[in-house]
Amino acid sequence: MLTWVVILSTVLVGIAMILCLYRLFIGPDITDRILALDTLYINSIALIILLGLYHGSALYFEGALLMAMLGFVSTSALAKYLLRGDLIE
Amino acid sequence: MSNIAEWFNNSLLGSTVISIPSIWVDGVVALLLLIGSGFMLIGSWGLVKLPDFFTRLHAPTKASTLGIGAVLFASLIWFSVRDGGLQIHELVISLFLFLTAPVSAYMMGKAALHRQQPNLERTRNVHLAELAAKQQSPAANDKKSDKNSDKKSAFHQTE
Amino acid sequence: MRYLFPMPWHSVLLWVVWLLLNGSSAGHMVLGAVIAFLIPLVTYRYVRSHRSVSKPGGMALYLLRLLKDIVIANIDVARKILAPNDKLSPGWIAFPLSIQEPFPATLLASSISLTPGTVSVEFSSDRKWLYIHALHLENEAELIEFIRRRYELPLKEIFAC
Repeated sequence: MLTWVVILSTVLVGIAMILCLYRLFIGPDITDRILALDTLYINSIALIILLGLYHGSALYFEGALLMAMLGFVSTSALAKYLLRGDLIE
Repeated sequence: MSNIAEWFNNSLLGSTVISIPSIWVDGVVALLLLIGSGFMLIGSWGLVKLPDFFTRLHAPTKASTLGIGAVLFASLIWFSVRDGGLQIHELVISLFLFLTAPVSAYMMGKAALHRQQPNLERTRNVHLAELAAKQQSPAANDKKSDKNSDKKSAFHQTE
Repeated sequence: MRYLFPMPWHSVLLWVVWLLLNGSSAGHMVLGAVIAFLIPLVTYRYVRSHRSVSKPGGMALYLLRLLKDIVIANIDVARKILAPNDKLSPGWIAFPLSIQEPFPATLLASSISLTPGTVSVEFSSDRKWLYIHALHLENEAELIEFIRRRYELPLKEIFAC
């Protein structure tokens, strides 16, 4: 039964990622795109955890941890870049 | 990692979820997974649906963070019961996410303010957003001496 | 002692996190201890000192209540997302800060972002005002009073400032 729940959850998270991609494409401004990327990486962490549950392997946590850190750094770097660009103008 | 042979078997040879310890753990994990992925779906749906940037900012910082927390907690329970002992990795990840979510929301909001993202027309107190973009305090523009009454008058302007 | 361990609590924290991530075998205990010893030696110059917690029990209680509030606020926000857009009335408020210390103010801003349908977006340059965007704003004075009572006053007590 748990296998089916994991698959169902994966489908839900996949739909969520498609919605994020939609916002990433149409996003009227670059800040919306950064926000969509931020949500996308959080969703992908969930996807990796679900993959780990499906395979019954604890190895995927290293990847999830790495992704969490890189995602935060990239979000703050992009936001900082926008801020600094505007400050110089 | 108490039983290396079992771990090896599960991670490299097994392809699906196996050896479920008990029906209760199974149910709790399934419930948490469904709640978590449901919240993440709601968060992303909010990202698409909500009308302006600042309302969109709420969806990922709240719904997605709780969603990932629930998924990680489910994973923590399942691996703790299977391997015996407390598997703490998920706790570290969710702690990290809960620490970073407000910071990245703050930075994205700041960037959006400096790019002068439009607010929804019926947003209240938009003048405060203009002041915030310049990092001024709300009382600075008003000439009256009493700070408290100034604040109140500023708030009641748009009502 | 001060030269060898410039930030003793950071060392302990590093060691514990290392053990949590790698499992507590004897080898990792030694390796983690070496790392916890070396990293503060290199980095202590770049860390500004900040005010420390004066009531650890109060802090634990605050974090527990914060966790409860996060769950409640999330359900609330999810419901507002699912409702039609016409029912939303977003708004800005300026929250008068009475905490001036950077670290407690950061904690307060993070608590506000995580909990009651609000995101803290910007500080004023004199650090006396915190600009907050609320997803659904009904009564500014009430919201400000709620945040003050629930988060600011306990934090003030915990950090004794």
